[in-house]
Amino acid sequence: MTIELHQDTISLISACPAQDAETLVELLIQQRSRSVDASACTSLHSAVLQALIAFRPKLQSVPDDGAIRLLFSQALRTID
Amino acid sequence: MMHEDLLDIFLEESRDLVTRAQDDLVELETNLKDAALLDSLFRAIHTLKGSVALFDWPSFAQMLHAAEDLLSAVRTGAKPLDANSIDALGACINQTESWLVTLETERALPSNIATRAAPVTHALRRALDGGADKAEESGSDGVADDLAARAAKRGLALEPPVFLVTYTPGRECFFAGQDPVAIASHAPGLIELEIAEREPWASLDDYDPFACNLKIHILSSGPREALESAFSGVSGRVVISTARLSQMKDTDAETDEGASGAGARRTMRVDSARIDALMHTINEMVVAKNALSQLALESARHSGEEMGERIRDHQAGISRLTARMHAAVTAMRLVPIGPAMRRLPRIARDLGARLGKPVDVVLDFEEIEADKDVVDGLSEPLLHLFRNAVDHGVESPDERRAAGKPERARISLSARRKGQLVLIRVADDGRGIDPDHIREVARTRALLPADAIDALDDGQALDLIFRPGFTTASEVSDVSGRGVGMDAVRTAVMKLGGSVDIASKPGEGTSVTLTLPLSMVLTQIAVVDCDGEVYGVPMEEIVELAHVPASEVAEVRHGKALILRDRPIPVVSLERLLGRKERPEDDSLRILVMRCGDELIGVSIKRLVYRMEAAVSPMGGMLRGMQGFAGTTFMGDGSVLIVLDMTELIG
Repeated sequence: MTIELHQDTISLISACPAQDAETLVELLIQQRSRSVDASACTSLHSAVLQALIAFRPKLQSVPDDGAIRLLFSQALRTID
Repeated sequence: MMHEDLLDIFLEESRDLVTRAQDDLVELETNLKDAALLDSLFRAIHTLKGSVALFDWPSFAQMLHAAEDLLSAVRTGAKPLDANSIDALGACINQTESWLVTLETERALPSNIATRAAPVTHALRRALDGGADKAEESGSDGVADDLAARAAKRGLALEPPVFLVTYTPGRECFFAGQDPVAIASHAPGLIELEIAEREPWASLDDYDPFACNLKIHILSSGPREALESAFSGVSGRVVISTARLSQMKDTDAETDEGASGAGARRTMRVDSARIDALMHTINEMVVAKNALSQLALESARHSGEEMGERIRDHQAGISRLTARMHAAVTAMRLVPIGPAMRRLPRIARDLGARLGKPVDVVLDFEEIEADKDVVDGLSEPLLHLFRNAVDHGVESPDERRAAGKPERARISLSARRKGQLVLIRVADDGRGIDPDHIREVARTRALLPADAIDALDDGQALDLIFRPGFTTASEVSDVSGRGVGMDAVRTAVMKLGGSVDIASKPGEGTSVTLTLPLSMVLTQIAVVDCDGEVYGVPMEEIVELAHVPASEVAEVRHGKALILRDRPIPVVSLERLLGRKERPEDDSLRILVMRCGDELIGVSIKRLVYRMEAAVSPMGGMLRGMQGFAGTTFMGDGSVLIVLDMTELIG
C-alpha cells in the first residue's frame, strides 16, 4: 500500500499511482479534518496531486527529495 | 489590521473606477473596436488591480489581474474582443462592485471571496486562451510574470527567449493513462511550473477522483522545438507562446503613468474664478427669487390673496433649492487655513531678530477649512497681531531677565473650530497691558467722557485699544508703523463677519482671539427708503420696527428721544446719518430700533420697502474702507444695493 491511515493522519508512501486518488478522496470525505504526511512520498500521479489541490488538507510534512518537494510547492504553494 | 483611512481612500477611488469600467464596457459592446474606450477600461481595471494589491485579498487581485491580461491582449490586437470576453469582463466588474458595497457596509470582505473569484478568474482566463492561437508571439501574460517572479525568488535569472506553455489536459486523460503533471515536470528547459484547478469544484462531496480538472503553466527556456516534441503526444491541449515578461519590456512604464493619471482624478482643480462666477450666479438667483416677494405683494393687491399665496408657495420651493445650491458652492470654496498660518512663525522670528528680541513661535491648530475670502482676509490682521506682539507685547531680553522670565519670548498661534466658527488666538508671554494705563491714554485723548472711562471695568478698558486713533506705543517703530492700530484689526475682522476679543494680564502676557465664520452666509436684509434711494440694513442689527405717532418723539437737548416701554431711546433719522437733507415729518414715524453695543438707538426711516436675503460682498476697489458701509449686494432688478453698517454709522 502506498497510502495509509494512522489515527487522523493519511500517509503517502513512495510512488503513489492514480488509484490512490480514490482512496485519498474517500478518507478525506469521511473526515475533512484529516491531515496528510507526504514526507515518504517519492512521486505521485496527477490525480493524487489534484485531490490534494481540491481538498487542501493540512500537510504535516512535505517530501525531502528535491524534485517532488518542488512539485508540492508549485502545486500547493507549501514553501513560498 | 487594515488601515481605515486607506480603505476609505480605496473605496472612494474604486467606486469611480468601477462606474467608469461599467460605462466603458457597455459602450464597447456596441463599439467593439473603439481603442479609446478600450484604453479607458484597461486603465480602470489596471488601477483597481493596483489598489486591491495594497490589501490582503489575493483572489480579488488575481481576478482583476486576469481581466487586465485579457484586456491587454485585446489592446495589442492579439485577441479579438468577443462575446465571451465581454461577458467575463462584465462578471468581473459586477463582482468588484458587489465587493465594494460589502466593504462599505461591513468594512471587510466576505470569507468566501476565493470561491466567488475563482469562476470569474477562470472565465477571464478562458476568454483569453480561446484566442490564444493568435496570442502566441505577442501575448503579455500575467501568468508568465507570476511564474517569472517565483523563479526569481528561487534565484533563477531569466534570459530571453522564455516560453510559456499552457497545458490544459482533457477531462478523461487519467483514464487514458496520462499523467499530465509528470509530462509537465519533464518539460525541457523547465524554469517554473504552476499547477492549479481549471475550474473550481462545485462541491467536494461528489468529487470525482478520476476527472481531470487541472491547468498547468510552464515557464521554460526552450528551445521551442524541444518543447513541441516533448508535448507532441498532447499537442491539441498545449499552447506554446513566447513570454513577454514585464521586466523585459519597457511599455509598462507608459501604461502605469496613464493609469495613475486616471486614478488621480478623484479631486479636481478648478480655477477659483470659476467657482466665484458660480457663486455669483447663485447669489443672483437668490436675488431673483427675492423679487417674488415683491411680486406676491403686488399680485395680492391686484389679483387677490390667493394669487399672492400661490406665488409665495413657489417662492418657498425655490428658496429651498437656492439654499441647497448655496450650501454646495459654499462647500466648494472652502480652503485650509494652514498655509496662511504657517508663514507667520518665520515672519515673527525675523522681526524679533531685527528688534533684538529672540522669539519662539508655537503653532497649534487643527486643519480647519474656511471660505477662501475669510482665509485670504485673515492674513493681514494676523500679520498685524504678530507684529504688535513682537513689537509691543514682548519685552527686551534684559527686561525679561529682570522679570525672571526666559530670555526667549514665546508667541503661540492656535486655531480651533467651534460650530460654524473658527477661533484663532494669538498669545504672547510679554509684558501684558495695564488697564489703568489704557484708561489714562483714553482720558488724555478724550476717547470717551471722563466719567464713562471711570465706569469701565478692566475688560472694557482693554477693549478701548480697538478704538480708531488709539495707539499706546510711546515711540513709533518701523515695525508697526504709524497710525495703524488695533482698530485696523477689528475693522478687517468685522468685514469678514467676525469679531475680536482681547485678554491680558500685566506681566504675564496678552492674547487676542479672532472669531470668524467658516463661510459666507446669507444675510437677512431689510431694504429701506432714504430720500428716494434704497439701502440695505442687516436684520440682525434690528431689534424691532416701531410705528409711533410723531407726538411721542420728544425733543431733547441734542436731538430727539422716544420712550419705548419705559426706556428712553435716542432717535436719529437715516437721512441725517447719511448726510441727506431731512425730510418733513409725517404724523407717524417708522423707527428701526437697533442694538448698538449695549444701547438701543432708534433710526427713523421713511419706509421699509421689503425684506430679502442675500450674500453681502464686502466693499471692494475704491470703496474699500469707506465708513458706514458693510458691503453690497444685488436686488431683484439687478441694481446694486448698498448695505449699511449701522454700528459704524451711528458710532
